[in-house]
Amino acid sequence: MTRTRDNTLGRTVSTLTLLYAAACILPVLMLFWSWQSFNKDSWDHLLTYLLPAATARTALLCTVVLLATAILGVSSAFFIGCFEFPGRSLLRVLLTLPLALPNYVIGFAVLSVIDYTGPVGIFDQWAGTTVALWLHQNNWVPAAISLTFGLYPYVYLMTLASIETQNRSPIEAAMLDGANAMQILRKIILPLTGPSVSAGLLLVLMETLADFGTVATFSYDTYAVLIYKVWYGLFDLDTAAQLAIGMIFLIMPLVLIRARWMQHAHATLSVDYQTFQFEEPSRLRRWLLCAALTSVLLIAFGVPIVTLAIQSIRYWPSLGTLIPVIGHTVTFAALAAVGALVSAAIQTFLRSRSNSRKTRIILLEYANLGYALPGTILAVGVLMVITQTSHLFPFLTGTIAAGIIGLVCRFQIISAQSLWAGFLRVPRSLAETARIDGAGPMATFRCVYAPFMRAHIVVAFVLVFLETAKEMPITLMTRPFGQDTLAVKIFQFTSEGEYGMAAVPALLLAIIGLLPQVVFIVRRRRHI
Amino acid sequence: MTRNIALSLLVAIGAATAAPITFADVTVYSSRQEHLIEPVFNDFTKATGIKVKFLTDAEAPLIRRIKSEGKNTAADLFLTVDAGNLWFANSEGILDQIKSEVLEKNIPPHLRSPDNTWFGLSIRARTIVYSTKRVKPSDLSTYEDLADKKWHGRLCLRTSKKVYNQSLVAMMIAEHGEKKTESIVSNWVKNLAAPVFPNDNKVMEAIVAGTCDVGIVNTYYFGRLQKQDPSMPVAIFWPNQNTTGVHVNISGGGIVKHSKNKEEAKKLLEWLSGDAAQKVFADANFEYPANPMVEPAAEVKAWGTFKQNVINVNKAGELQQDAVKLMDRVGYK
Repeated sequence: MTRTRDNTLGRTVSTLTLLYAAACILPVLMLFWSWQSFNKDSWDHLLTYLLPAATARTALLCTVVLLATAILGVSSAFFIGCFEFPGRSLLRVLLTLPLALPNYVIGFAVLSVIDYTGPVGIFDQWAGTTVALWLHQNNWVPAAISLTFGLYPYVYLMTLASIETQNRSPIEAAMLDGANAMQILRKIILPLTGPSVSAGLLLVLMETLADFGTVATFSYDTYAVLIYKVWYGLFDLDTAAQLAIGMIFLIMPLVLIRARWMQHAHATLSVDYQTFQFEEPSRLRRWLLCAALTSVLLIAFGVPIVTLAIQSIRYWPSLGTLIPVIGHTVTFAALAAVGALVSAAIQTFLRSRSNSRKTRIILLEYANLGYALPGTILAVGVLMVITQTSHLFPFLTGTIAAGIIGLVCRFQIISAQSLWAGFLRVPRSLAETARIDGAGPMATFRCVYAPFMRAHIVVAFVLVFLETAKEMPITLMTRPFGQDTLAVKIFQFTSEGEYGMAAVPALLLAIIGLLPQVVFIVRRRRHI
Repeated sequence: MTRNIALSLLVAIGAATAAPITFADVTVYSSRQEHLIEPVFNDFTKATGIKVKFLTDAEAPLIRRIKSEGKNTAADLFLTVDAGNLWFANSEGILDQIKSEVLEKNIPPHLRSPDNTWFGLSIRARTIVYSTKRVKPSDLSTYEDLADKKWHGRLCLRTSKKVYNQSLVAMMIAEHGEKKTESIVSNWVKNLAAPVFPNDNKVMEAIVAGTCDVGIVNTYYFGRLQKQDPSMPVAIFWPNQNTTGVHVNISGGGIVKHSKNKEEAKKLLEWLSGDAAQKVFADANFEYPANPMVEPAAEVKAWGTFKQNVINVNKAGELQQDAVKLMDRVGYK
């Protein structure tokens, strides 16, 4: 009897999982229509002249950005999480500030610094060197620097969350045996935080693959640039979509390997809510730590902000016209963040019921693949969905719905990962006790899950909110009339080369991005 | 806190869904940006009482959006920059033929499509700029001459991914054929002083910084920089004056096939080609009016008159794919 019920339940969850994954990935699946036509000329040209070099460039950029964000993200999380030093609690929040800036804005700031007319160029003229030229010739360097500064906070946030909920006992045992900080980091903390670091790195990898704005700033032609080039230059959207699908196939095995690793890793996760800390370092080291982390922040966030401020000085009178635009930005971002949260909640529920079901886990991983596609290509898939279903949902045409669907499809991975991390923190015994005591699902959620997951729900909301506010291509292609966002304004000005005018909405975007982080700081202060 | 968030979200959702939907008399999809088109649309509304609503994006996504929306599209008029994009829009079947004596009178034949599906509204000249400190104008002659060895390590170019360069090379293919053009562009690449730039401003900044001596840019970018810094040591040179003329491209527009307000859209297009609008439309961006009866702005006039290439700009669209492939073959990034 029980077995029959379990089987029925299992089948229901399996069906739901399949339906959910299919719905999430529908815009991506629509792109497969592009295989109806095959342009041999375009493909011959691509294979002979462009694809090999673009793939190699993409591999180089991804490798460098992954390494750099891993080093920067993990080490800053390690220092913040395990040591006490001046300004630690403030830096803990401030290190996430670059998330408020779109990558293309950081790229633009880096370009202003390394330009022939920028500080590096001026240094060259003074010292008779050719550093600026070298950086333009080796354009993977500035591209990687920009992406690293924009993306390291993902690795930092996820690693820090994991370190702060780490089981203290193995670390304390190692310390008793005389292990030093480096050994503990390498032998204990890194293996235990591995799944979280890998979650952050997966986001970094997908974002780097899909990036167009930053690499285009430095004329660094990656695979994603090729997709745009084929569409805009060769007027061949079908081949562009085929290339995009190729990118999805490239990333699929990585997602699978990580999913398998995560399944294994979760079994060994143990939770202890007291943060572990090393003994207080010497006075000199404490200040060194503070200085090192502050300089990361100053370079990654301070330089772009100062650059924008200088560029925008003359154009602040245009601020008045941007006020309605701020409203649209916040509305769009809030709706997408709620949508992503709902989707992530469904995903977390399905995942929690799929412990040993490989197929279901894989389906759920694939539901998040929208993040790896360049935004415009994903938007084409969304428009295809809307067009194909317009007779079913005529009221959706020309509304904000298309944009929200696209943005949820793209960014839900972020909220899903945050919610899942929160879910793992809930001790199973508590949930079971509640159920044995006769609490219904809603009561269990309210009394057991909600208190543990509150912070993760807020983080999920804020991260998707920030990403959506910065997002450009999907918003551009799907927004209704008169609903321009700040990112749309940045596009409009930069596409005409008006960088000074674009700096005003870019700064506003940064300020909006700061607000949730200020809330975090205030809340934390209150708790302390 | 949670309640506040929920409440503000509700308000936001309400605001987004309950915004009153007002139908404009003409709806424009434009890749010419807001600050360049809004003033002239306002003038049109004042003059005719017809309201204009518009939406901006890059060219290819707008064309795709109109195609996806099909018969349900809100678009009446499609405005864009570069003849290549207008040619592509037409070849995707989203534009309708326009019968208008006014437009045919105002816009010269080489600046409109042979089948009257689109009309140019402003001219953008892509010309040579040079350092007034290191180059004598007498050293310069043609675009083709920039392939000469004397310019080795002295030339700066914008990326080949920008449609302006694709159109320039397409027109060269129309004049010289692929083989000769390939040799010219290949030598341009060999003469580059620095890797290609993401925009025209950066090309001129590099000339100012001494990284290179000559470059190819659209004149309105020069106009904007000159306005910011009148003493900039860079000047315009009009090439090919003894041969085919300066390469010109257009910004222009056409009426969308599934438009529900074709008469109003035609009125707007005709009005844009007339005296008053031509002045505002071109002057807003240091461009040249497409209507030859209208004078350009004083700053633009100061750059002197030039002979323009009169091959129909439609050719730029037809040959754009060949141009892109040619530039890929010679390694022009």
